[in-house]
Amino acid sequence: MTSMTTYDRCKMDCRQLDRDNLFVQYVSGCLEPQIESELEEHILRCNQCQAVLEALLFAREDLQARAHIIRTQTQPSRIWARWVLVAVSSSCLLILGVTMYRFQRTRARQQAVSHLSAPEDFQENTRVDLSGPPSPTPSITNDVHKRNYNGLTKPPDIPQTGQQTPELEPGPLPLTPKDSGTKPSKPGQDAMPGEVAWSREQLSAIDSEILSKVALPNYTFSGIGKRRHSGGAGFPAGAVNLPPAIDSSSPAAADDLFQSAMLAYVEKRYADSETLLDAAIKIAPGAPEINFYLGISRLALGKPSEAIDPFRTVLAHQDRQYSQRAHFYLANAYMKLLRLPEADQELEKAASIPGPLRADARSELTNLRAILANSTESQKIDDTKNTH
Amino acid sequence: MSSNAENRLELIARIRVGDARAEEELVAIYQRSLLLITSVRTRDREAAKDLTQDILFAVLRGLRDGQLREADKLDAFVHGTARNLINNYLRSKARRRESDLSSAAEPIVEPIAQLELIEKQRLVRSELESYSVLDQQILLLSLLDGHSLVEIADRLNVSHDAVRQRRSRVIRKLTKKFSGLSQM
Repeated sequence: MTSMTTYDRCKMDCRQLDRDNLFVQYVSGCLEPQIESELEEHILRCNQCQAVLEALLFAREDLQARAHIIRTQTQPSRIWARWVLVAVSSSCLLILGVTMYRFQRTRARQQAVSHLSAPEDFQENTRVDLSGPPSPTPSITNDVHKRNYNGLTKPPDIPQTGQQTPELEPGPLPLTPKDSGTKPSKPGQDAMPGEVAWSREQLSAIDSEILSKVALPNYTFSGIGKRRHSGGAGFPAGAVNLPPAIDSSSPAAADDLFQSAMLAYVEKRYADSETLLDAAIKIAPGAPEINFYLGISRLALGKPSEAIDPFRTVLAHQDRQYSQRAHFYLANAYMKLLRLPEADQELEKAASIPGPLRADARSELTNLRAILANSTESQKIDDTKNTH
Repeated sequence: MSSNAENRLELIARIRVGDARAEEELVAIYQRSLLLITSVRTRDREAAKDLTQDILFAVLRGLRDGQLREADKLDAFVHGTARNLINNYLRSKARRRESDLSSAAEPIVEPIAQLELIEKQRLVRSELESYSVLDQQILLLSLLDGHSLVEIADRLNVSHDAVRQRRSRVIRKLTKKFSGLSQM
């Protein structure tokens, strides 16, 4: 049977290594192959390490099952949305308070005037009321006006805008303009089948929007020597015209255009970078870096469908430097287009290639699959309902 | 030669002559660890069970055929066989493009083992749910997504030290509590 005495002959001694950290990396699949191999060989004979690994494995499986819930619980955007809700509620309460205060003040003044003045002062009162401090909504002003003259005499002819309300009717004042009554129905609330499908699409779009919040890659200029333009300022913002100095037939022209495009890209002038990269690509159609950043610029401009072709060109050239990134951002383009199965495929490829985006790709993949699983589940429920 | 090595040599010799009990002993030695390794690598418990069986079968066949000459290399032999079969499985899975979502659940073969597994999963879930959301998030980003401490700190807007300490504390707590669980 396995024995602790075999530690001595083993390359790895679990008493001397940072076991927790090493096992976390192993379970998440981020360990170097050589170390992974040694660790596995060690696990074969070490009961203690087997127990630790087993606990972490259970934890991973549970986290995997609840990944979507855990992520959404702590999404910064949710926290932000909560604060926005608090701010909006506070603002509404403040506006309500100020409005009520003004209303009370105006009413008290009107009452004081009506007690002190004779009916012939009516026009004067009206003038005072109408020229008073402006109310936030016209309907409040009109209703206040109606209430002030309730029971005294006929109110003056005030031009009414919008929907007519019954005059001199007591009750709460409307605080907002009249609702059109065209609120969209919520999913599952006596909705027609078509409406349910519409809601699910909306939900998918929201989920996809969450998924597709991916940072654009940075571009770093690798040296001054790379810059070919004199002056070093690139093209001015918002005015991209191909400089006459660039000879479009020379091989260096594509590089010049690329460098200028990257200046625009770094300054987040994506429309300019797209134009320049488009020009560069006509000279060097197969250049992976030009195609890659063209795709990224189009993604940034909200043109995911146009970003697909450049990414595919990058992948066709099998460039090691850009391959993982192309898969990853192509997946994001698909996600923006709600082509989720294709996005899944691309993310899986990105996750299978070693590189800086591997963890992000895995994370996105988990999210995407959770969403796909949810949508499949809700589809089944709908189908069952329809069958019944 | 140590007694352990002698035992291994004897075990291998018995397997070579077709001793069924020796084969059972070898399975008892390696089954748990192989199941853990295959579970980690495949991220699929059902597939891991099948793969473990395949690996043990391949190891026994190799030993019967006399492919292993040095008893000291038994661990390496088992590990090498496991790695080859796991890699083959992962390659074939990538080629098949099998959909995880539509695949039907396997029927339960061993009800008691299945019940034990469910109980362990329930205990671990209960323990994890007792941790703060931030701790769960850190574990998720570490164990599932494979993010480094720096990346996690960046994503969660927490300091690197805080992430390191929290992760370390949670993992120590978790392994201390559950490493005493019986075999899978």
